[in-house]
Amino acid sequence: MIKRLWTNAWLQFALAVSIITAAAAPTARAADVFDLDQSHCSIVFSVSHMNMSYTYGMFRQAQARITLDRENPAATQFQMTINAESIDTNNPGRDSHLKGPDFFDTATYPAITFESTTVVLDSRPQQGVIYQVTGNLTMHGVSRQVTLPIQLLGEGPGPDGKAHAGFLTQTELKRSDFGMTKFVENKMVGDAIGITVSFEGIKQEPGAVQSR
Amino acid sequence: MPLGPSDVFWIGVAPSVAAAIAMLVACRLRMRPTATWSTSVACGLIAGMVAQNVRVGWHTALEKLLHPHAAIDWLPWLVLVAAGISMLAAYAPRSWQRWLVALASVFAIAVPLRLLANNASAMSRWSLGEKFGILAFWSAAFALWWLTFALGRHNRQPLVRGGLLVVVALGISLTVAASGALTLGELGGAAAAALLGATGSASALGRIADGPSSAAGPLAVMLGSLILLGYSYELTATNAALLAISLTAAAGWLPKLPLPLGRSSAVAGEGWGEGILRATLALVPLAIAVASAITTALADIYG
Repeated sequence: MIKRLWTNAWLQFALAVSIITAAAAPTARAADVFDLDQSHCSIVFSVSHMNMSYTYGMFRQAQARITLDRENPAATQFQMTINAESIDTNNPGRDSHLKGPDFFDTATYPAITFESTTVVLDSRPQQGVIYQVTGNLTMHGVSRQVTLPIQLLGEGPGPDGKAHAGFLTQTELKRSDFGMTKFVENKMVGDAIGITVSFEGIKQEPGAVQSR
Repeated sequence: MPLGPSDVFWIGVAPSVAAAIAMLVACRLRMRPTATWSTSVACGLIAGMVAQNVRVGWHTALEKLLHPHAAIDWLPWLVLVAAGISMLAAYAPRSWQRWLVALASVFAIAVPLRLLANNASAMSRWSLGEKFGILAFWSAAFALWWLTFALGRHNRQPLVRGGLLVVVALGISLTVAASGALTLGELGGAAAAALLGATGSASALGRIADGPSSAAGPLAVMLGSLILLGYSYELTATNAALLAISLTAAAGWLPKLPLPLGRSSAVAGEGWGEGILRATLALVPLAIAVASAITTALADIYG
């Protein structure tokens, strides 16, 4: 009887130690998924007009998902879909023209999409975390591979109490590379387009992430 | 927006010269009237459409021709097929005629289908019933234009019809451009230039008697497509209807009416009364459409 009691005690001790050890052991950490915070997203572009001034505009509607894997940056993913019909240059007449066949032809190509294929972490001491993101940018029915330097500006709890992560990228594209050639030859409207995109993502709970 | 010398050359001179040269070559080869005119007009139209993109670069022009994306990129191929059907009709035996009519009818359905299929925005908005209805409407329009242009030869007056078509093509160009689609407007200008080249060359070669009716297919497809695509973008329904009426009246068949007959000539045809009636039916709605579009455009610019 004493022997059985002693054996039970050891078994219980061993079980307790196993439970405590399992709870304390670091689990494999899954990547964090962030969905676009619609109210903190700015997609701004600039284009030369007759080599005299720059006209600025923005796209007001977009969706994005960022899968941030801090332990394996190469597994990080960026996806964004911009509603081309939400273009706004503060001039309704020009906006209609931009949506027409001379430029974006939004009736035929309603969305601008970017999907990353390769991500390389490029941290710099003074600039912080920068991801060199290579992916397919599809605009006006044309897909081209581009590399965007996406800087992680900051992370932390937002006013809604959820975790936020903020990003910034700036690049320059040629609209003629995407089949938008109107007024390029006479330089009425510039070919080079300056693009600035800054946005925040709201971290999604693991169980709440749904496929898109 | 003023057109530079480069624009005038590529959109005006190039299609006009291409059409004229094609007319000369076709006449030298002793091709039949339908084949001659179809070849000439189609060459001019396609040259104009390609030339529009050549201004940016030959690579861009070739890319758009060989890998069409937007509806407008398909126009050269649609005009080419229409010309092919017309040429087939010129040389096919009589027993084939009804099959060719059937082929043209199927093509009249294919043209709006091809042009509208790329409109992702509209496709997602329209129900299945609406899609069928809209397709049926535009198919009937293209078939009617092709048929009435071809029957227009019975009214004779080829110079009147040819001249009015040039003016109507220019009017379509202005209306569509003022509505916000400069690219389409330029194609209207190229169409006018191609017609001018074909008509001028035919006059010089003594082949004017056949008139633009012999190129009914390519003309119906090109000019009708500009109205359809214009309406898909910013052209109002009223202006689209006015342009359609104008186009039909310019080259289509007119019934015999008890009009006062003035001095008639081999070129004028049956009488000035018919010519005046045709010009009125074509130019009045055209003028209204052009004025309306330009007025709206100026109001947008100046507030």
